[in-house]
Order: sequence, then C-alpha cells, then structure tokens
Amino acid sequence: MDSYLETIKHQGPGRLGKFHIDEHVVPTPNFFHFTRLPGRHDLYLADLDSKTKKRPVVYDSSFFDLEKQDSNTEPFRLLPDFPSGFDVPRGIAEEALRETLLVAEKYPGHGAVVTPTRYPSLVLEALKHLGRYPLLAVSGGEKLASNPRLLVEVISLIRGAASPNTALYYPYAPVAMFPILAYMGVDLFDSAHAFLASIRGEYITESGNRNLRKMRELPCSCGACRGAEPRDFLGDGKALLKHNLSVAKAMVIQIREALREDRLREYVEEKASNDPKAMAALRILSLEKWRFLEEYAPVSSPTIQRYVSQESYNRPEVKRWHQRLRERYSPPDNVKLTIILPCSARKPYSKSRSHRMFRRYIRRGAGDKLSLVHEVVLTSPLGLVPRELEGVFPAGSYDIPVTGHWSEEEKTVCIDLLKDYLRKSGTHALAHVDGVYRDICMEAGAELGQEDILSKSALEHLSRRVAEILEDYEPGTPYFEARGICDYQFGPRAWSWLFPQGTTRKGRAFYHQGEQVAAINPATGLLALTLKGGELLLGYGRYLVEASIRPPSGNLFCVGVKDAGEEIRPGDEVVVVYNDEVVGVGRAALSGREMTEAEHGLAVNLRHRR
Amino acid sequence: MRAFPGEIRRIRQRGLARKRKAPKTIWWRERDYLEGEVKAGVLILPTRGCAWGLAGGCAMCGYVYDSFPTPPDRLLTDFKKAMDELGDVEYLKIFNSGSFFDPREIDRETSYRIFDEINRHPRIRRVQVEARPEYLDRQALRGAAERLTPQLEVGIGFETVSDYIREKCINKGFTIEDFKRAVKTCIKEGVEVKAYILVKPPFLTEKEGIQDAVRSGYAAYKYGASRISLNPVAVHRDTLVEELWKRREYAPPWLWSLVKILRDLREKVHAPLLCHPTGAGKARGAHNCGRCDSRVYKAIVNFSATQKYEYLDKVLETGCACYEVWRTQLILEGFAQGIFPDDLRRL
Ligand code: SF4
Ligand SMILES: [Zn+2]
Ligand SMILES: [Zn+2]
Repeated sequence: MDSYLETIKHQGPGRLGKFHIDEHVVPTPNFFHFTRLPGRHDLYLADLDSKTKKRPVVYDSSFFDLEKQDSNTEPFRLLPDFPSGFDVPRGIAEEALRETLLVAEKYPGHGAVVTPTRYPSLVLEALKHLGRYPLLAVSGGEKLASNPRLLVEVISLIRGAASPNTALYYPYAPVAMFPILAYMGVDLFDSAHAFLASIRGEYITESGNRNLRKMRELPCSCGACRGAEPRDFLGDGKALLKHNLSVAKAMVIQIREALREDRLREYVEEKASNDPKAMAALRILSLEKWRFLEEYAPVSSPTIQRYVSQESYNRPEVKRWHQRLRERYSPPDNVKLTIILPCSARKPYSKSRSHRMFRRYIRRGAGDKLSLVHEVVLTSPLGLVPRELEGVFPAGSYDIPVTGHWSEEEKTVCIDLLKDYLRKSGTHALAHVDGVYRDICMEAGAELGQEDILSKSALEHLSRRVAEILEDYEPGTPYFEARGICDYQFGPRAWSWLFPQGTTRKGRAFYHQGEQVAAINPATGLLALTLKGGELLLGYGRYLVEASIRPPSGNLFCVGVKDAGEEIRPGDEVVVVYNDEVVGVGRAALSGREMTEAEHGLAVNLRHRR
Repeated sequence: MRAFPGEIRRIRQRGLARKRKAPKTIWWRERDYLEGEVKAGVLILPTRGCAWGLAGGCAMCGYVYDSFPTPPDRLLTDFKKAMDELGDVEYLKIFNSGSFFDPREIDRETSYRIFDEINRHPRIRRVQVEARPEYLDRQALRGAAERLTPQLEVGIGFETVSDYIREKCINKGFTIEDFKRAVKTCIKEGVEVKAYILVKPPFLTEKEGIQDAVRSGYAAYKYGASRISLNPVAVHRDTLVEELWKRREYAPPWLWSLVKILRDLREKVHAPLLCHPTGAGKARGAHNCGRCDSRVYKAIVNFSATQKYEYLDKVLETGCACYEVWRTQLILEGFAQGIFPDDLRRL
C-alpha cells in the first residue's frame, strides 16, 4: 500500500494533514507513542520483535539486524540508519550516510532517517536519495534542538527538499519545541521527551519544564495530577510520566487546533516566549528564512490576525505586504493629492467613525474633484495601507495593542513605505495625523495638518487645504479602484490584462463587454475570477496552473498538475490551463511548487470550469 | 567504509606521538574459574605492541600505548621475578596487549624460554595467552603446546558474531571465517580457545549491545570456544571510542546489561562465562547510577569466579532505582536518535 502525507492546509510551512500509512489514516500533526505503555494513541513505534496488535504501527529495528531487514518489509516501517550519532567527525557522518543509503534504497516505500544533521551539506546529499520517502525522521534530537540556528537551517532545508507528501518526524523533540517545529513543517513527534523529563524529575507544563522537587502544588488536572501533590509524584516516576505524556499529547492537539483556526503562528509566538531556544529559532526563522515561511503562508484567512508581540511584526504575511507594496502595487496615476490618515481600530478603516468623519471633510474640500484625491493609512505592522487595499488580507482583519508607542523598527518600516509610495505617486502629500504619526510624515516629507485631528478646527483646516491644493486642477476621471487590488494580487500592471478598456463595475463585480470577469470577495478583499477573467489574465502569464488532464470535477488534485507558477501561494486565485485552453479558475490549496511536486492531495478548488 | 579507519588512524597517530614512559612488567592475582574457583595470576608483558593496533587497529583499543619494545633478556628476568611473586596460582594469564605468537612481539626462542619457566611451577594447570587469528597457525600452536606442560589456552578477540559490526564499528580486521579457522586449528592441536566478546561496540545502542553480545557469546561457544569472556567497552585514551565519548556520542554499557547478558546466556552456553569489567563504576567503564555499582560489580565478579547464578539473581532482586532508567533506555534508545544521555544514569 502507498503511504504518504496529504496536506489539508498550511500556516507557513506548518500543515494540517492526513498521514496515510498502509490502510490507515492518521491526522497530523501527531504523536508517536512507544509500545508497552498505557493509553490510547494514533501512532505507535515498536521494534520488530514487539508483538503488538495495535495499529497503525511504524516499526523500527536495529541497523545491525541485517537478516531481519532482508526478510520483513511489511508493514510500513521506519528503516534504521547507521546510528553514527549527531556530533561526530564529518568523515564518520559521511560514511554512516553511505551505509544508511545502501539499506534505505532497497525499501523505497518506507520511512527513512536523515542522520547527518550536524552537517547541512550532508543533509542535502541525503535528501537527494530520500526526498521522496513517505516518512523522514530527523536525527539529532535534543542536541540539534539546542542549536536553534542549525535547527532552522536543517529543518527548512529538509522541508524544502523533501516531497510535500513526505511526513517529517522529529524524534526526541523537547515538548517546548513542538510548536516551533510544527510551524517549520514537522508533522510527527514522540513521547521520548516525556520519558526523559520524568527521569530527570521534570514536570512538563505548557510553558516549560519545572523541577518537581521545588513545586508546592500541581497546576494541572489531568488524571495523574487530580488530587495529588508534588511529593506523591516522587516515587517510581510513573505518575509523573503519565502527567508528562498527557501534556505532550495535549500540546500536539493544541497545535492541530491552532492550525485549523489559522492561528498556529500566534500560538508559536506565545509558546516561544517561554523558551529561549524556541524564541531564538523563531527569530532566526522569521528574519533569515522568511521566504521559506512566505512560500507556504496563505494569502488570506477568515481569522482575525492578532499582532501582539514583537515577533508578530515579522510574520510572513506582514513582510509579504511590505514587499508587494514595493514591488507590485503602484499608486493611481491621475491623482493630484495624497492624504495620509492614521489607522483605526475598526476594520475596514472606512467603516470607523474617525475615517467617516475625515472623509466627510475631505469630500467637502474636494467637491467634484474627489477623484484627484487618494487616501493612504499609516499603521503598524503593515506600515502603509492604500485605501483601496483596506479590505485585503491582512489589512482587513488584524488587531494590535494600541498604545501610541512605536518601536524604532515599526517607525522605520512605515517611513520607508511612505517615502516609496510618495516617490512613485509624485503628488503633494497632506498628513492629517497626530502623535507618533506626525514624526513619520515629517520624515517622509509630507505637509502636516493640525494635531488635534478630531477637532472641528483641524477638520476644517483639512477641508480648506484640500480645496486650496486642488484649486488649479480640473476634475478627473474616477480612479478604478480594483486596479490596486489586482496588482497587489497578481503582479505589477496585471490590471491592464484583467481590466481592459471599457471594464465597468457593478457593486463588487466587474464586467467587460457585458460579461463578468471578476468580483471582489468580501471575506478576503481579493479578486475572484470568472472563466472570462481567467482568459483575460492568461496573457499575463502568471498564476497559471497547467493541468495534465481536463479536471473531471470541481477539484483538481496534485496528480493532475503538470506545472504551476512559482508565485502561487495557498489561497491564491489561479487559472487552470489544459492544452493551452483555460479550463477552470479557482483557489489554490497549496503553493505552486508544492502542487507541482506533490502526488497526493488537493491542488485547486475550482469555482468555474469547462 | 573507508573513513572510520581513516579517523582511527588519525587518532592513533596522535596518541602514539604522545610521550610515554617505558612500562614495566606488571602482575596481579585475581579470582577465576576452572571447574571451580581458582587463584589466577595475570601478567602483562611489555612488547612492541599489536601490529594491527599500531597501524590504526580497533576502535576501542588503547593497549598499544602501553606497549614498548623490551629486550628479550629483560623480559625474561621480569617474567621470572613475577612468577616468583605470584606464588601458588593455578591459572596463569599472560597478556602482551597484542599477539603472543607474533614473532615481532615475542620471538619463538623467548616464548619457549617463558614456557620452560612456567613448567617449573607444577601448580599451574592452565596458561592463557592471546593472539589474533592470523598468528594461530598449526606450526606455532604445535610448538607451544608441545613445549608447555600445563594446558594451553588462547584468547581471541572475536568481539562479535556480526562481520558487519566487527568491520564497520570495531575495525577488527578479520572475519568470522578467520576466527572459525583459528579455533579449528587450536582444537586440532589440543589448544583451548577463550573467546572475547566486546559488549556494546561503538554505534550500537544499549539494547543492540545486549543482543549482539548474547548472540556472539552463543556463536563463539558453538564454534568451539571452551570459555567465553565478556568485555564491556572501557573508554581508553586516544581511541575513536574516546572521541565519541567526549562528544557524548558514546557511553559504556550499564552493569545491568552485563547481568542481563550473563543470564540470557545461561541456557545457551555450557561453558564458563567470565566477566571482569575494567573501570567498572567509573564514567569510562561499565557503570550504573553510582549507588549500586559496587554491589552489581561484585555480583558479576562473584559469578565469574563461581559460575553461580544466585549472585546475579540476588542483585536483581535487590535492584536499584536506576534499573527503571536502564529499562527505559532499552525502549527508547535508537529511534533515529543518538545515544541516550548518559547523565540520566547518575540522577
Ligand atoms: S583490540 Fe587487540 S587486535 Fe585490536 S588493536 Fe587492540 S590489541 Fe590489537
Ligand atoms: Zn497533570
Ligand atoms: Zn543504581
């Protein structure tokens, strides 16, 4: 039977999936349990000698039992590696890898071990041979986990080089590292750390391990802890183990839940704040490997994103926002005045009381020249939100603690984006802002309005200045707002393909020659295409998925994907092409590279097809 | 596998370059077993050292650093002196940290004069020397057996029944066929064989170490060895094992493992089982938690001298808190993971 992991959804490289082992299906992320232990679990590890009726079981056996390896290949097994260890001289790691591959290559459908994690170049070498195995165990355990830089390097390398259908297993992972590992794309954990902690007299909690001997109370109500005291746990360690196992398992379930609710990243940030190693890994990952994170980060989410910690500012969708504003978005061309406004707690901003007020006074000042005015909103951590993008994820649905205090980093991001915007737009900029925003606007060279922005006098000043600045201009043609969204979504000047001359708007929908081409999805703020829209966008050459079959149903699966644009991200709107003909449009479930490489799982959910 | 020997050679050269003192002949008495408990004498002869070891040799062996070319006359004088001081031993074990029958270590003439000296001690019933299989040819054995009055016994470092482990993990430099041939030759010439089994070669988990030792002990017995000696790895200076140990990628076996191996072999091997762990209880030797080490060590030594399993049964009955840790290690160690952290034994 085929074994593989099918991705259901991503949050960064982290994924919710289904692991198919022989005839079993197990949800992931999940937790390997060692046999001979009580409790109900989905996955068991046992050596070949253990007689167990529990299924599914991934077997392990000694590398040195060569006879056994030759006979028993059923059921699904984790093939042993030459156990050279982690911190060994390179020559030994190299030879051990060669030995491991000799055995592993005889059993392609099984799990294998990536041993030389101390040496990333050897990891890459191993992946050349093992990259398509359905299960890869990352060796190095506690030692690798205590070296965040190497850990990030190695996991991102393996995740990037292995098939998307390969499940990643990190044996011996410390429980505190489960969330960050899951975020990097590790699918499977095990109970080893719970054992080690129990031997060490450590009581695992969700926020780190405690020394049991120093505890006065047990802050848990699991079966082992209920009604017990720390000293009851000292004896043979069985009760402590039971508790530790339950916490470890609960952590995995929390991760799954967080994935389902699109808040894995938030969970990772929260948990990492308890553990310096996990935090170091998260920072290195966010700052140095953000392209790795971004590739798997969905373009939208129904969940409100809470940017509550410093780590939130480096989330992949935030950095993507910055990047797309710089590289894809361009300000409307026939505009003469840019008005800079502060953000509001309510999203979209234009629904807030303050913005409705600002806009009333702007309209009053502009009169019939309103189309010459373009509004942009300053905010952290997104920096800058042009008005027409205010409904686009994550601008349309984020939450931040508002204090009026900005870090230097937040300010810098904002100033840079504003400067970049103003340079491209070349218009006069009028800032109707207060507090810290004033420094930012001054720095970017904007004209400052009055400080007390909600006061009648300041608002009237705003009206007056708008009227004065526009005095010399004739009224222009209204700006076609969907252009900004289109470019943000598909790339620079994509709008010229999707919205040819004569495109009209009715509500959220856009028409060309009487036929609908696209509509704004109110949930994501992004454009959803029709087949006609797909045909128009075809010439642009991006966001295309080349199918090897005409999609027989509303779902295009990865097996049917021949090629897909590298720029495609989970949740993206894509055009499905078969034999140079547009056969469907829909939402990508995976990134372009992933759907090309994967052989199992959903690739595109088709909205329209023919 | 080419790099392990390369690594071993590098470490060996580093070790040999270190300044060493010329060692003296040393000897001591210990308890051993020959159809009952006997007093045994152990005698270490300094020679130029194991040829295989000097060129790189075995991953765990640091004996070559104790060797030193000693003139035959000096060797004989020392030997005689030692024999006088050892007194009334019944079993004499001569170790030269190499091969007794390698003429580069001990020339034929000197060996005969050693035998002549032994023959002057009528209480000695058995004499053990040691050698690699390649030196155990018929001629050498016949000459020795004829010259020596007591029963001659040759210790061979069989180490493991697995050619793979012997080659890849130990770098022993001979195969199971070489061993079998040597045993056959010995038996034909009336020489008995004591097989050394290495407990927990590098790269093996604790559990693999146990399984391998049990299989190997049984195999050696089947092939005709008349005594089986279990040698847990001790961490010698300037060896590959030490390199791994320092990086926390190797730990010597538990004393509990030795108890288990001895008990597992009980039904299978109808020959004396011997085990004299060196450095027991220390970080570099086979050890447990530190609290029970001397108790378990004594049980093993008592067993070796008497072959009475009561000693082992009793020490198991008494047990220790660390026994569970050892059991956990057997379950957990080896899942795509380096060794089980050794510090857990000491908690
Ligand atoms: S273990 Fe024996 S054969 Fe190997 S190097 Fe040492 S003395 Fe020589
Ligand atoms: Zn509990
Ligand atoms: Zn103990």
